[in-house]
Amino acid sequence: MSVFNIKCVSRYLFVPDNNKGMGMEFRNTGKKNFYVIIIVLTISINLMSVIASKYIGMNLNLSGTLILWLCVLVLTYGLKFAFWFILHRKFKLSFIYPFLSLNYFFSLLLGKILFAEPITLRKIIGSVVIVAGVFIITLSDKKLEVT
Amino acid sequence: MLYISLAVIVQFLVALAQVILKIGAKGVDFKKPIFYNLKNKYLLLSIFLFLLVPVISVITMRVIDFSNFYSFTALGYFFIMVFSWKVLKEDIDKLRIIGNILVIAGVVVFNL
Repeated sequence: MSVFNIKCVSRYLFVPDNNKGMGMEFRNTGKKNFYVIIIVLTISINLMSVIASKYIGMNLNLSGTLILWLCVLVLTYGLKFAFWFILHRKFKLSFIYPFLSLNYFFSLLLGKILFAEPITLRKIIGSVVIVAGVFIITLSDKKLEVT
Repeated sequence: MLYISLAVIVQFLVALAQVILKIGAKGVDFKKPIFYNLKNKYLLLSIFLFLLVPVISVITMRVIDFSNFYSFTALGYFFIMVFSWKVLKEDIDKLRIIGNILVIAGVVVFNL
């Protein structure tokens, strides 16, 4: 079973809670997949805004590159707002927000690919601990908002 | 010291923006006209905070190193957990507390 298989991830994320009759059960697989895609997009967009900030910091003089990255930053913030809006209507904040920390794991890989930054042991340990923390949070009850 | 306080304030505002957006998002009713939803003060306040945070971040990052600034993001997860518990009255079970502690610890180790 691949963790990148969207059906497996959505089935795992939306395991019905113990509290029955609270409007927490998800029966529509299409909707489940939709929210998994939104979570993935939110993480990706957040990474994109970090990359844009990094490029802006590297090109502080007024130039076409700076304007381009400023546009990317504004766009990513707008998208971030829209995606968080969708997620907040469905999930409890204490459940969904820690997913954002998965950024650290992906930033490690992107930092190496885009900026040739070194991958240190400390960063690997930090990423593994973060992923373990997020995994434990997904096991908790009452993930979804009462509808 | 002033800029360390600013970095803490940024993380506080990040968490506050999420909580206010959450309250605002819950209040949006798609069956009602768009003008009704545009009057949602929580939504408007969260938009303001979403715009304010990057501005304060840039000011703070001009003085603090990027990596040092990033290490403060662990505080954001702490503030979110406290707000979820105290403001939104969410049930925080043991698994969520352990998971959040691991996330915060991981962020600290990552940024050390």
